[in-house]
Amino acid sequence: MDTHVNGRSGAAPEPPGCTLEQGSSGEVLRLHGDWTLAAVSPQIGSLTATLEACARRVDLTWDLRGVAALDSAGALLLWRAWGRRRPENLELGDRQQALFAAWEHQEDTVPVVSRPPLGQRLLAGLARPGRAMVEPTRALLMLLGQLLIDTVVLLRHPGRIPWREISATIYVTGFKALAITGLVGALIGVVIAYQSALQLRNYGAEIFIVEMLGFSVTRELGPMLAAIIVAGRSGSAITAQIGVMRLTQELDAMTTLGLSVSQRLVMPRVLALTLVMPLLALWTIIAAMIGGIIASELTVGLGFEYFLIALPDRMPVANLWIGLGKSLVFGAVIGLTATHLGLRVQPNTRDLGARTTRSVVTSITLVIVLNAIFSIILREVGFR
Amino acid sequence: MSAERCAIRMHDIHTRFGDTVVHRGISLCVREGERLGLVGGSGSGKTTLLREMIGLLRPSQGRVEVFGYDLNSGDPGELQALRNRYGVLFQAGALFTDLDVFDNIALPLREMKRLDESLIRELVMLKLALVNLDPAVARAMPWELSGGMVKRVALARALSLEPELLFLDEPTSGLDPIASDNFVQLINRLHRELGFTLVMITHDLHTLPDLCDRIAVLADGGLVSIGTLAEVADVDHPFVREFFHGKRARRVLTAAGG
Repeated sequence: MDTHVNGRSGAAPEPPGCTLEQGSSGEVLRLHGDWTLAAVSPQIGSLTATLEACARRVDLTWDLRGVAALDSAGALLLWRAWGRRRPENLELGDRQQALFAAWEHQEDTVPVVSRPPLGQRLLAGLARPGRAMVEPTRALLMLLGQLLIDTVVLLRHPGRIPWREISATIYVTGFKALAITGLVGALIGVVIAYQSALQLRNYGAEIFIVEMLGFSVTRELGPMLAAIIVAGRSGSAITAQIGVMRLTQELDAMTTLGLSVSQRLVMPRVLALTLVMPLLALWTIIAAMIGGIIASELTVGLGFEYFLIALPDRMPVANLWIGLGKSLVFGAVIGLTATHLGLRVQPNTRDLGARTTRSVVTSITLVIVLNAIFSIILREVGFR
Repeated sequence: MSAERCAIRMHDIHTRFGDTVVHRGISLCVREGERLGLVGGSGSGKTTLLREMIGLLRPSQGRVEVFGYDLNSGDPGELQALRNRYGVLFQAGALFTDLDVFDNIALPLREMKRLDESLIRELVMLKLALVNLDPAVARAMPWELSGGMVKRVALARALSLEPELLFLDEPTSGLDPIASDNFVQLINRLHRELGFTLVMITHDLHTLPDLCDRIAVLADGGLVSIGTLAEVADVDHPFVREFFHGKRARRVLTAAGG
């Protein structure tokens, strides 16, 4: 039967073993079975101990010719037991020679990790937060500038406006988000109306539920909820998509073909999100109002008819414009953050994941911060 | 006819993706210790067939046996034990980007949970030497490597569990002719020394005579022919004529002395 080094057929490995026999010139240790990685690993501890005990006997002859299969892992086990040199008396099969020859030429080197000295690392550690702020800010400013240039170019040549990309993004980020924003909006409306009704009833002031619900939902919660959902849904998707295009060199291909990445990828997404956000915010506001009115009808008995008459009367329409105006800004911010981080993905899988996460976290944080700023600036507007 | 000892036996494989029929009844035997090349036009289902051999994809119908085990009936534990007996070199290397070269090669060994670190270190460094890479490469990250180095590291990782069966998906794609020749020589040397069975997909006519004992030609969803280069080239089939007797092919094959 022909046996190559890995001469095992379909059967399970034969466990490795050795027997001590009395030969013509002293004792002989005959190895048998499979001395392969798969076969030796289950009993590696006991095998190592046995081999090392045998290796201490200098007069012993090692006979490996009975071994069914030997690979470099099995050879390494023997090699280490022997103290990294061949024993005096060794009988090897032809094909086994090469395996031990390989170990003979192999030094036990430790791969070194080159680390700069401590002082340098400390300095770098101190400089990092600074650089972490400066570099992305610079890149973001450059992206904004590029977008401005693109806008001028596209206004001069309206034929080049990427309508198809814009409408595709509107469909994916807007239309497909209707269900989730509607659901979340309605449920938040229910919760707010219910909690307010409980408290207001204590003071006999149930009728103020109109203001509670109207102002909070229209000015603050509707636009913010919609923005947070879009940041999580579409912001991450945009970052990941552009990031993968970097990985697959599609961005390089576009540049080489003379297509502007900012015109074809960044511009349509930022524009589409800016257009979509107010619409989604309006939709969320409506859903939240409906949810709130249902809850208020059930808890304090003030239903649709009452709200329809009281709301336009007691809440100026400026509040709606404020809400929708904020959404416009939120959309632009989410679009810019997502595309900006997508373009900065390094071509490896870890960075792709990290940037996608950062895209969501950054845009949600920015939305909340901006919302607070708007609230302070516009504190005098929209109240009676 | 003598009974062949098959590392892989495929019996009447049918594969369909929806309405698209990829394979209609392919049966073949990969003999133990041989180097088999899969050849076929694009879309002829070479990669699909390879994935079915590896067990990444289940054929719609038919049986795949690797070392006598039916891939699609065994229990998960047995399948995993079987997987440890083969290595795969993916087309683009598929190195884990989170891990450096050393850890990429060490990963399968560490996953065995039985070997101590010093043993793993020696095995990894031997594998690096085996594929002619400098020990200093061990701490490089995958994205810092050239295309040829990625292939060699991926080969070292595929070899880390001492496989009896090695799958190569277009081993020379993306390499320049010199790097490609070196890689072919490397694979042949390892095949001689380690004695594994080799199954590969290749488009590269240059490497066919050097790298394959037998060639299986796929076309029209079936196996057109399987045999040595001379036997396969004699078959009368449009794809074979085009592939082995086109102008380009004749130039390459005569230059190779085949």
